[in-house]
Amino acid sequence: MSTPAHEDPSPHRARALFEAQIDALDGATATALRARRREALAKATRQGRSTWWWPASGIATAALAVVLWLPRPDAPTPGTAPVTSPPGSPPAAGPSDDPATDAARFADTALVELEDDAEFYAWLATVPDDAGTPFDTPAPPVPGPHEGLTL
Amino acid sequence: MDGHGPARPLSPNAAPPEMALDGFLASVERRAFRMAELALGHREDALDAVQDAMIAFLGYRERPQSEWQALFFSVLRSRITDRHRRNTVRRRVLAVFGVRDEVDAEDPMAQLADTAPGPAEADERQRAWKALGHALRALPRRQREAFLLRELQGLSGAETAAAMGCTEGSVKTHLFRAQAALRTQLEDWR
Repeated sequence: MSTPAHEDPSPHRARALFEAQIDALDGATATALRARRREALAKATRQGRSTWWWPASGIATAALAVVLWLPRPDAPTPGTAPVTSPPGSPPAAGPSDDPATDAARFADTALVELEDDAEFYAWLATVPDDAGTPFDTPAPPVPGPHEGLTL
Repeated sequence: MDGHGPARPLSPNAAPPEMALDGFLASVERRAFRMAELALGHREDALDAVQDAMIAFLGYRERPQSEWQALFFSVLRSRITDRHRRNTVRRRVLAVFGVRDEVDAEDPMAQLADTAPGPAEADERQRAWKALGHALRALPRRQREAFLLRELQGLSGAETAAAMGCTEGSVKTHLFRAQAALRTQLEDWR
């Protein structure tokens, strides 16, 4: 692929790479996509929609809100020094013998229950991301070719 | 390949509705998967997002077929955003328990099989694909969406604006900023 020297090659290369990756999709992924398409089409033909998950999602939302409200272990409270274990000490005990598994299971179960809950996603949009800003916060303005446009 | 290449979605025709729907989804599923993979950086998440988008899109099946492409990618964009939020919450929950999310621990894109003719070419392309994915995921969401839809999926300005729920002018601004950021991040592509 050749582009004029004055032209930025990134979009051209990105586009060519995108098309090449589509052509080179592995068989396992192609099969998985086909299976998911058939599953989606089958699901769409089913009549009615169950609402059994509404009470469950309310409980799960409350539980998630409590967990997210808890202070993060790596985020010290203002005015206090972070708590660290002395070298060689055993790791702090978690809520069970296997906190990693428990936490992952809790998160996954709650999130699966909430998958179709529009209200949950509306609330989720207000949850700050890892950088501490709400997910839908617009990017800071950068001078561009279309000054005056409001994003 | 399921008999469908990465070509553009089907144009309006007289095929029976179910066949037309199946054919349309088959014609966009690979492009959709690659877009979701770039945005999410995780194969299973990308597959889930595509399936979610298919299910949600089928709710719009009565709309004219000429609108399907923009509708589908609009729904997919929304599902990718939901996945991002879901992953953010998951990381937060796990962080409370002092657990590192496995999604962060390794890059599953590196594990994907490849059907390229030569291993050297495949390695090079895989490296470039990873670099592009990392650069795109570092962009603000709206810039990433504009680049994915307009530049990679090849939607028109109007279709991209419809899919993103904004004006064509905003799409241009997001796209300009995305290209400027990618130009910096993908310096070695020059």
